[in-house]
Order: sequence, then C-alpha cells, then structure tokens
Amino acid sequence: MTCHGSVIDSPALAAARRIALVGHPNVGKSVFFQHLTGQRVTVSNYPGTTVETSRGLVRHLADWELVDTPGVITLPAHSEDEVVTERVLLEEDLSAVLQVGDAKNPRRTLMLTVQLAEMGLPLALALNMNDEAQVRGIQVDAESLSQKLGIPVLLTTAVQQQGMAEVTAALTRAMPARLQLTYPTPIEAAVADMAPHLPAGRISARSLALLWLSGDRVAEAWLQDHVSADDYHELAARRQELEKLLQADPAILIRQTRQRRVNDLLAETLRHVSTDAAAARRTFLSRLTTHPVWGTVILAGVLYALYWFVGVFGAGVLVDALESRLFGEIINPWISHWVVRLTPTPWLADLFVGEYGLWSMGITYAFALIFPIVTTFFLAFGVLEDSGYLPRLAALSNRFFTALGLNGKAVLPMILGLGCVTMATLTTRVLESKRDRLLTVLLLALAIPCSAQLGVVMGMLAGISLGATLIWGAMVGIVLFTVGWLAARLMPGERAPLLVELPPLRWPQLSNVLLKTVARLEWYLKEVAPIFLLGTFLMFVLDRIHVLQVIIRAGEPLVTGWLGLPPETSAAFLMGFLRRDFGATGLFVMNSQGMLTPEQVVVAMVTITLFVPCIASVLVMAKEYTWRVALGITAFVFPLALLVGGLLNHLLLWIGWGLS
Amino acid sequence: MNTTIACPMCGHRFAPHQQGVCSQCPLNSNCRVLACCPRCGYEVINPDGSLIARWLNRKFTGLFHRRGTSQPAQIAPSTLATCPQDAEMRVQGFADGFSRQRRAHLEAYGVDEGAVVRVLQHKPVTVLQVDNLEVALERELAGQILVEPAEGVQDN
Repeated sequence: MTCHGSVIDSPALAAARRIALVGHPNVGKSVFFQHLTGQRVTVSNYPGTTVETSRGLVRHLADWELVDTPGVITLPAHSEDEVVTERVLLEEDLSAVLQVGDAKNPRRTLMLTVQLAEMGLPLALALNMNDEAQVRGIQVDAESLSQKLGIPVLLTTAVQQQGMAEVTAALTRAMPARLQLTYPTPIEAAVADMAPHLPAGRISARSLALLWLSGDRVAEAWLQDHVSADDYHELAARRQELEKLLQADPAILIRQTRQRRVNDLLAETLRHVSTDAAAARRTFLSRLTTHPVWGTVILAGVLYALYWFVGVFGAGVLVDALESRLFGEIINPWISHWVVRLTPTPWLADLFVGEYGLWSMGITYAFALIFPIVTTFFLAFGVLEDSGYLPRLAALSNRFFTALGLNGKAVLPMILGLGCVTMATLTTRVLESKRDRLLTVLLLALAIPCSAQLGVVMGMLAGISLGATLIWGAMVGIVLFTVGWLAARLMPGERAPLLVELPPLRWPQLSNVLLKTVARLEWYLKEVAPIFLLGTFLMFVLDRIHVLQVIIRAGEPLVTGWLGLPPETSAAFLMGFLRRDFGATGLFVMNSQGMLTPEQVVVAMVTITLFVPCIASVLVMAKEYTWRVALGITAFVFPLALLVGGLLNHLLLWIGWGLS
Repeated sequence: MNTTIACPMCGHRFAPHQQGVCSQCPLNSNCRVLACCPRCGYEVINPDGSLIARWLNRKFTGLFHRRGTSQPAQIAPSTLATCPQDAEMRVQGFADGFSRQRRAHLEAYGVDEGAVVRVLQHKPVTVLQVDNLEVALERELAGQILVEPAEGVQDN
C-alpha cells in the first residue's frame, strides 16, 4: 500500500458527471442522497429500503448526477438488489463513488472500501452514524485513515447533519485509492494470465479479474457481452486451473487477504474507549424484542397500539370528524347546492354530486375516509420503521415463516405490504431465491391488506367488537397459512435459511417520521385520487346505462346467496376490482348507512381483504416476474376470496354469531 | 449437549444439519430428530433436534453415541448452535459443504475464521454480536459454524 499525505483536486471529476452512492444496507445512503440532492426518498431503519437506483442532481455541484444504489452485503453479488448495485459499478460511467459506511462497524465497512479501491474509481468514504460509534466507545482516526487509503475520509452523523457540510467538498477531491493488495501467488499468477483476455472497462482489469475468480455472476454476464467466445473460454479455463491448484474456493482466499489488510488498517487507526450505559440499555432492550416470550408480548402490545391508533382513533374519531361533520354537514351540502344550481341538466349534477358523483363519492372517499386513515397508519408505520423494530420481527417470526416454506426475512415485505402492497412487491428483491420471492408475492397479493384498506377494516370491525376483528384476523391468517403451506410444498426448490442483520434500536426522529408521512401522503394522493375518480366515473356510466343494475342482479346468487350480503354489495366488489380499498370504502359507507349486519360486515371484510390489491400491484407483478405469473395469481385469488367469504358466512350463520 | 456427531458406521464427524444425503431425502423438510452422515448416509439420532434425546443426553451424557458406536461424540461445544448463551467464541471455520453464498454473507458480516463472536441468544433464532453488529441466523446455519471458546483470544 502506498500512503499519501494529501488529496488533490480530481481532474477526472470535471470530465464526467455521475457519482454512485454505495454502501452496506442501512448505513444511511438515502439520507446522504436527500442531503446532496434535496430529493425525498424513503429512509428507514432496516435493510432493503432502497431496491432500485434513485437519481438526482447534486445541489451544489452543477449538472452532477448522484445515483443512490441498493445496499450491498457482499460483492460478488448474490441477491437481486446487490446485482443492481454491482451493475451500476460495472456499467455506468462514474466520475466517483461515495461510500457510506457504518462508523461503529469499521471492519465491515473497510472490507467494502478495499474492494471499491481496487476498482480504481475515484473514491471518498463517509463513516456515518458516528454518534452511535462514540456511544460504543469507537473512535476512528479519519485523518490517518485518509492518509493510508489516499482518499477523503469523513466522520458524519447524517440524520443530525453533522459532518455533512464537508461531503460535497470531499466529492470534488475524490481520488482513486492507491491501495495495492498482494494476493497469494497462484491468484496473482491467474490475474496476470487473464489480463490479455480482459477488455477495458469502467473498473480496473485487476478488480474485474478478482470478481471473475470469485465466481461473480454480474462480472460473468458482463464479460460474456464484452469478450469473444475464445477469450471467455480462456478466462473460464484460468479459473478452473486456479480452483484445481488451490483445492479451495479462490473467493475465500481473496476475502482472507482483504481481511488481513483491513485488520492492519484498523490496528493503526481505530481506538476503543470506555462506553456509557446507554449502549448496555439498548442491548438489553434489543434482546427483549427478540426474546421468544417477551418479544411476543411486545409484538402484541405494538399490534394493539397500531389497532388503537389507526382503527379506533384514525378510522373512528378522525373519519367521523371529517366525513360526518366537515364533509357531511358543511362541505358536501354547500357544493351540492351550488352544483345543482349551476349545472343545466340533472345528469351533469349527478356526475358531480349524485350517488356515484365525482365529488360526493370519489373525492369524499379519498379525502374524508381514506386520507385520515392512511395518515395515522403512515405515522405509526414511520415510527416502527425508524425504531429498527421491524427486522427483529424477522427473527421473532422465523418459525412461522419456516412453516410457509420461507424464512423470517419475508416478514419485511409482508409488513411493508401493510403500507402499500405494490411497493412491497418490489421489496421482495431482498429475498434471495426466486422461489421465496414468488411465494411472498403470492401471499402479499392474497392476504396482506394495504394501509388504506387495513384502516377501513379496522374502523368497521372496531365499531362491532374485538371478537369481529379477531374472526377477521383468524380467517385471513388461516388462508395465508394454508395457501403458503400448500404453495411451499408444490413449488420446487429449497427454502433459504434465515440470515439477517439486526440494526440497532433507535429513537425515531420526529422530523424524519413527519417528512416520510408527508411524502407518502403525497404519493398516496397522486396514486389513489385519480383511480378513485376513474372508478367513480365508471360506476356513474354503468349506472346511467343501467348495466350496474344488471351486474348487481347477475351477482345476486353469489353475493346474496353464497356470501349472504345485500345486493348493493356487488357494486362495492366491482369497485374492489380496481382497488380493494376503494371497494372497502364502499362497504364502509354501506355500513355507516346501516345496510350491513355485524355478521355481514365480517364476511364482506374477509372477502375484500382477500381480493388482489389493485391494478398497480398486478402491473408490478407482471414487470417483476411475467404476465403469466401476474394473471395466474389474479385468477387464483378472486375465486378463492369469494369461496372463503362464503364459507365464513355459512360458518357464522351455523354458529349463530352476530345474529342477536 | 453434543454439537458434532461421530457417525457410528464410518466414524466421520459432522454437524447435524450439514448437507449431505439429507437434501435428496423426501422427508428432509420435517426431519430434525434424525441426521444422516454426509459421508456414508447412516442415520443417527440428532440430540439437538429431539427434545427427549436432548434431555436424556443431558441426564446420561453421551448416551446415544455409546450405543453401537466405536467413537464417542465430542462433548465440548464446537458449533455456534450449541455453545452457551453469552459465550464469546472464536470462529474456527465452516462445516464441509457449507454454502458458498452463505459463507460469503457471514464473512461480510464479520463472521469469518478467527473472528470472536458473542452469542446473545439461541431462541427463536441464534443472534450473534460481531463487533457492533447483531446478526440473526437460523440454528441450521449456526450448527455449521465451527467455534471454540474465545478465552485468552485477542481480537484484533
């Protein structure tokens, strides 16, 4: 290794203008992205928040683009999100890489630094979460480390804006690190032999050779596209020869060499000082949350708090204030009065303020009913996300998911699905095998209600009894478990055992929770309001041309006979085909008008919960997998929802529940 | 509590969940009580997978492996799955046939040969502390990470 006492302005940066933000999962890359670009991306305290690249222009560096990449646990890449990051490094024309690392885990951070340094790209390192490192008594000598690596090294606490002022300046000073590792002789010989067969790429040939020797699938795919068949064959032969010579996996020897260099670096730059009691308290609390007994008690408490805040307060108190009073007594009568007076024909007035009116139904549903519910849900969810509690559920729920042929990691997309199933479908990328991802997507589409629907369901069921909520939860749980259990046995492949990082428990920052809630609400309104208006318009047209009545009559044997619901429920279910929360809101209104008995509410809620979430989620399924998968899941889910709803109806009638 | 099993048939020592013939067995998914030797396929009781076997083994140390075995099983903890809670252990290596991808992931978390890890808990899954990082992993994986007590070991 060559040491350099100073860093100089990088001429390379002036030429090309793209910077990649790279680092392990959950180290604060997205906070950096927000700070540097001013763009809002979701930031949370669990790995896998970023599953695609986000791009934005750096505020203080004109025309420089910043690319936020998904976190990498290892390079070579194994999971889909790691593949995304590695492809950015291999294929994009990068002027620099800003590695964001965890200051309290410098060993792990530097393992990635060494790999990035070997790539030969201009590099800067930000050791983030320095506050947590200090609490744990870890002090990294950034200046000394900077000298040894030959790159700018900063200590930052991004969420508190500490050290962030220097980040932009550090980017302009990013330099290729002059770090040369010497690997065991057979590996060095193989790298030298491969050199004539490697094309010039974005990263150094040496780094590319090492990725190849480590069996990296992204490098393999890249080389397949960039070298001749003869050269590819030669490269494969070199790797085989090396494996035969070493009688071991070259990747292990490569990692061990890097590990030794990292240990040497840390020996010279890391200092441990005494820790305070806060770290011990956090460790104790962390252990409680994953304890088989206390962890379950805490989970029950969290679920009850969520139920109370979203179901009772959001869907009860707030919806009552907005829908019944503000919209019902003030806004809607005033608007109806003026629309009727100003529109020349009754049907035009009906289009805005009639039974299926754009204002009286579309806007009122979106703003008076769903908006307060999703606001409370997003607030509660933001607190849970930022606390670091969610990954602990992966450990706690592993046994349950094992029975479904998955591992506890699947709980993350499942819980994200409570926010938005469409986004959660994208997050399944954090799961390692395609089998696990497909199983999770099926269960997400089938039995995980999104925030808006969950709030409506909680609000309606809370108005009946806790027993009603428990019946709904039990039915959805039974369907989830049975379908998951059967699918796991029918789907070929083996489940991957759980291996997940548990981030530290943190006090959620109010500002981040509020900002995240606002950003999600903005997204929600953009996503939902147009679909609600479109759905309302379709309902209006179907009503005007008397097709709605035909549909209601046609659905009667199923809806009134099998499900035991009033005929008007067909209209709500029809709305549920567009978005199931839209349909649930229709049922909410029917219930508030006294059209449903408690038994019918439970049956209707179970049925609509099991519907496919929305058109957007079907599109994402098709994009992530294939249309065959998306349509197959849709064709499976709708009949199953109606089947389960009918069975529940007959069961409740048989035992006489809710009839008194 | 035993952590590695000496095969009564061929003497090969292996971790109970080490992949071998098990992956080809149709009963594998629900089989925890039995373990098959990866070398010869001989079926032995896995005391870690059976509550009764574990209790009996605790009461009568080495009971299972005296029956028809020529080599008693190793008594001292030797995988992460069976070392005591709160113990500091040094990683010695990984069982034969351990997944390359899993190993890469574990090493990225700092669980590599020579690393000192602290076992925070075993249930519902094994939780390790490596430097300032906590990692949760299934018992099946923990049972394939070979360790020794870290007493006197200096972590650099």
